[in-house]
Amino acid sequence: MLYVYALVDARPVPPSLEGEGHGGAPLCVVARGSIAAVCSRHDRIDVPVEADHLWRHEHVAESLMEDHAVLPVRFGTTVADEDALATMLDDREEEFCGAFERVRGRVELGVRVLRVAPPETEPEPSSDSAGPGRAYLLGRLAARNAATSLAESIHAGLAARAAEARHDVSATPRLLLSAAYLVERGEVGAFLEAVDEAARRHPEVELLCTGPWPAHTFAQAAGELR
Amino acid sequence: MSTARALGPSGLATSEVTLVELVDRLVDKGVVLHGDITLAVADVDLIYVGLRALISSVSSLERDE
Repeated sequence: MLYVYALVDARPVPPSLEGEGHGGAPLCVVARGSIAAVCSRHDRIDVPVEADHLWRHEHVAESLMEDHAVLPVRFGTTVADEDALATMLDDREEEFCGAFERVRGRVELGVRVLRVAPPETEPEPSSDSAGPGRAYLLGRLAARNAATSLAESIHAGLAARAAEARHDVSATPRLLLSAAYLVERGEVGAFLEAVDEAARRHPEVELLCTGPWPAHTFAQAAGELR
Repeated sequence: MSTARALGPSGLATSEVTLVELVDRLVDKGVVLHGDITLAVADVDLIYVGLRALISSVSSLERDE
C-alpha cells in the first residue's frame, strides 16, 4: 500500500525528494498531470499518533514547500495502490489545482489567544429587584461578550495582514481564539510584528503563534471538508 | 527549511505548544483523500483530551518576566 504525505504542484519541475518516509522507507512520487503525490510504499504500516510519526509526516511536507505549492495530506492516509491513488487525483484535479493556486508562495501561521488571568465572573452585589440570579447571569453574559469582542478585534487586526484566514472564537474561560492565517512568505515578518503589537496592547491575554507551517488549514477550501 | 516554532510573548513551553498545533493540523486538517485513515478513533479521542489538558496547563503557567 501507499502512505501519502502531501500533494505537490509538479509544474514547472517535479519535486526532488529528500529524506525518508515512515520506517525509513524511501519516498516516491505518483504523478498525474500537474499533481504529484509524495508517498512511501509499505507491505503493512502502523503509525500511531505519536510525536515522532507526526514530525516525520510534517518534515516530508516541509521539505517540499520551499520550491513548490504543497497541500499536506491528513496524517494516517493510505491508499491501496498506484491505480487507486491516480483515480483520486484525476477525479479531483480541478479542486487540487485550485488549492495549489491558493497556497502558492504562502505559509500558514497559527495563533491561539489565551487569557492570562481567570475571568472575573463574580457579579457585583445588586439591588436589582429581579434578584441576584439575574445579576449573575447578566455579569456572565457581559464577560462573554467582552471576550468575544476582544478575540474578534485581535483576529481582525491579524487577518488584515493575511491573504486568507480561518478562525474560531471559542469564548471559553481560557481559550479565546484559535486561528490560522495564510500569509505571503515575504509578509511573515510583518505578521509577527502585528502579533507582538497585539500582545503589547492586550496584556490580559497571551498570544501563542506557531509557524511557518505548510498550509494544512487551507489545503481544502472552506466547506469542502469531506 | 525551518521547523515550526512557537513565538509566544512569554516564550514558555514552546515545544509543547508547537506539538499541540502539529497534532491539531495533522489529524484534523489537510487534504482528505478518501483513503483508509489508519488512526483508531480512540487514538484521536486521547489526543484531544491531551490537547485540552495542555492548553489549560500552558495558560496557567507564570509568565517569565
